Amino acid sequence: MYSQYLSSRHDLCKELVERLSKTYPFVSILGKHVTGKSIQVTTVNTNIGDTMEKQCGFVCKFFNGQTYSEYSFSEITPETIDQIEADIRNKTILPESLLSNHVPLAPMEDEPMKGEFFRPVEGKIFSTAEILEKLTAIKDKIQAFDPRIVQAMASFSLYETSAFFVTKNRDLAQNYTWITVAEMAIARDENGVKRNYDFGASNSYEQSFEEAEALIEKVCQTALDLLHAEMIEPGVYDIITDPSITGLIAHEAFGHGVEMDMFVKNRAKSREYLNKRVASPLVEMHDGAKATFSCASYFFDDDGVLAHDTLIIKDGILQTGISDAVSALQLGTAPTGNGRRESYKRKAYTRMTNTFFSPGSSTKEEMIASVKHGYMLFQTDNGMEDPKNWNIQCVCAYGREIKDGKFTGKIVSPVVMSGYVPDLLESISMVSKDFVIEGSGHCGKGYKEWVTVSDGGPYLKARCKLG
Amino acid sequence: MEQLLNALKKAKNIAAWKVNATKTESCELFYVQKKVETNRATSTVDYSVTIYVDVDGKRGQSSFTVYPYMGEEEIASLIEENVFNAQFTLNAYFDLPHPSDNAVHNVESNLAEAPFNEIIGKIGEAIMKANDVENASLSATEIFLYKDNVRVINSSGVDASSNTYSCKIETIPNYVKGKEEFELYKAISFATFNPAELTEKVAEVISLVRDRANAEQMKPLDSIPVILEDEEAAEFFGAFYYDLDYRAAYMHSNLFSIGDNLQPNREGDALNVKLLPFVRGALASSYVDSDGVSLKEVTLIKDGIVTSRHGSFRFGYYLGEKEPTGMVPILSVAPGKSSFGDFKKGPYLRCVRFSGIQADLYSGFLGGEVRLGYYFDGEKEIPVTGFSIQANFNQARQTFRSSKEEVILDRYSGPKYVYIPGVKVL
Repeated sequence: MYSQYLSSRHDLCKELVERLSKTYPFVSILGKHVTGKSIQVTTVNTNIGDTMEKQCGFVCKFFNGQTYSEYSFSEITPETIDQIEADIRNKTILPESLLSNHVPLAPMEDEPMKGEFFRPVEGKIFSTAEILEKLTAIKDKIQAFDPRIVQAMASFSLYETSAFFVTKNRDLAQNYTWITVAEMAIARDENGVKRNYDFGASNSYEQSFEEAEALIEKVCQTALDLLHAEMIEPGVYDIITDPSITGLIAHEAFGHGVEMDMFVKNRAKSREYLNKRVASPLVEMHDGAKATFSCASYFFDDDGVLAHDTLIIKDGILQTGISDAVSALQLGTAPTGNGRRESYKRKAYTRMTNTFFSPGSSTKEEMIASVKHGYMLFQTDNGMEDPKNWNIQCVCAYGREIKDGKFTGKIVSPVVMSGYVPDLLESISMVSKDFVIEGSGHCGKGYKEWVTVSDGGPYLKARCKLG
Repeated sequence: MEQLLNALKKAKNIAAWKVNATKTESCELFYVQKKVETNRATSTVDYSVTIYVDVDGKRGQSSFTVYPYMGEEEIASLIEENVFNAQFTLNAYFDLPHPSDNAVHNVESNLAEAPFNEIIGKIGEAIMKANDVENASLSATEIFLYKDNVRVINSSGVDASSNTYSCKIETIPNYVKGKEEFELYKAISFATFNPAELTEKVAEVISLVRDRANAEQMKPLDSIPVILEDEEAAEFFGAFYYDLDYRAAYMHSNLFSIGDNLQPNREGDALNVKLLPFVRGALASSYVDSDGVSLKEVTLIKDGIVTSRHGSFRFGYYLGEKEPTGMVPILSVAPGKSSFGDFKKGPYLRCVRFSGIQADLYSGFLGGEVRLGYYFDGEKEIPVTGFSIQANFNQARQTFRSSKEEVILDRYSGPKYVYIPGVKVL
């Protein structure tokens, strides 16, 4: 349900926009209220708390004739609106020495637009008691799987986002919810301690639990298998990436490099490659809040731009990047609905949303059969972008060895993929028909500014340096 | 805050409560190359509340956030909802910390000496002063100035707070060499602004990116001593911090216990690791943790032997600790006897910028992709790039040597350099 609090402050924010618009040529206010809860059941305890995404407040963004300025605040009332107006005007004043050297900017377009977008939870809503019962059942199943599992964990996380965006001519509101059910097994024997996790995620309580419950056996068995994992012999191998690692490549290796605030800062090598080949002709890549349905699917971004489906790579050719509103203004392009903030307290940057490679025509089995000696790589651990120099660091939780087209039973962990991005993308030789989006990720810009993202796609066959 | 405290005091069926209040004022400046693009200011406040209920000797808890718009009635209703939730989370009983240091800690800083939008201009000038090197520039710079007031209050009488100032900077130096361009990332943070020192730090990063531009492709090697430094040195030692947390022991996910020898086959330096609440220049310093525990020095590892654990009051209580340490923020590692110069007497690979190092006790993996290193083959040192390193972390902890030169980072105080023999280069 849309935040009653935001409804109660909408007209005050409209009034504030009107007042400031007498001085400034462009003024917007984003109001954001994210509520929710997280519930965790482990072998040894149970906890209930707030969602990580919780926030409630406002950010006013305006063009002062030279630069864009912003002021974030936690509350507005009829009694405090005068003070907030004064703070916006006074606390954002910069010394002349700074203003004399600014990026040439202009007011944003403010085409009239009104809209309310609501995406309610699908299906039955579970009570706290029901959620706890289901989590406990998952935890118990994990615990009972094998005596070597010393710790089982099941968690539920729900966040409901309400937001409005108002300017002189625009008035948008949205409300949507996302639910994640995650599980983890920690296994221990004389070889050490290893863990594995997975999750289900959707805007339905029932679906998220069903997805998570279906993964219990895989999570437990993988944790046990990892007790015998070896370190990989470093080298260049044929690889098959599962959809999680496919998504990691789409996101870290390439996606960050097409965030167009990086173009503005001259930080992206991909700018030189627009309309040029950057990958095998088998590769098609998308990003967008509207590109698929997952955790980063919203109706408008934090700049008040409607969600897009951006085709980034088609037939191996780089088509375009993604952008927030201020970057698009500087580049003279249209924003793509990718202006996102960690919270109302932080700046909007160009950020990915749902990023993926499109499916192809091979089957997973054909791909495995085609490998002479290599690894199938599973489950994202972490990754780091290098948009200027296109070096790769993608860490996979584990890999399974393939020899002569068959799994040997050997498991290696962790596996670090490294190399040069175009080499990796160019080496993609098979793309599977499958399509899986991993809808529970968080992504930073550099080392901060965390937002929810999803990524994924099909299985890919490629060649890469592993260590 | 008064409304919240009133509501908590009036609430029925709660055994205890805790409030963490955070008020932040910030001033932020965003440059695109040498030009200002955006500036921001913030004034925000959040109250995080935890309520505890006791049933049949067990304790349940539930946490929620209170926002400034909420009146006493709405807060009371939230408390009631969370009392209900807490009854589903009945865990082993644990106490809350009692007051031992209810002081207000004001950390001295010259960032408090003038209005933020004045100081931020001077910080910007100090950074841009270094931005005057042929073929080099800063692609982007972000400056964040913060004034934070953090307060923790609980129903046992804890009421401690701190006022701190800090500046965090992200800057991306770029170097042009022919048709190619190269960049590196650098984060700088401080509580005391020294313009000359800041200019020097930025100039140092610019010189590093120039070296990346001139770097050669590193060749694969089966074995070479690697020198880690600064953040990567902190990551190397930080791996032990997580394993020795009370929570890991309570969850049975720890590898090591008190009395264990982490270096039974030691060939290098002995591990001596402490946790400290306050180190001047380490921004994470704090005299009180978020539960209200007054923090003291803790010796975690002495001469390679685990001497104690650390962690939150709750999990310490569960493990029967008489005086749980609380979350002591600064990892302090004893320096070694060797100098940086000693490490450079034979062939070495000094890795100065990683994508992100992995130092994992559980898999035994130590390594990552390196964006800039310096390789010395015994004759000359050259900048190198485009490679990864891989070592066995469990072996490395037996053989590492740490420098007598020290560095202070946000959460680390200790050797600036760590020397690890026998590392593979990919």
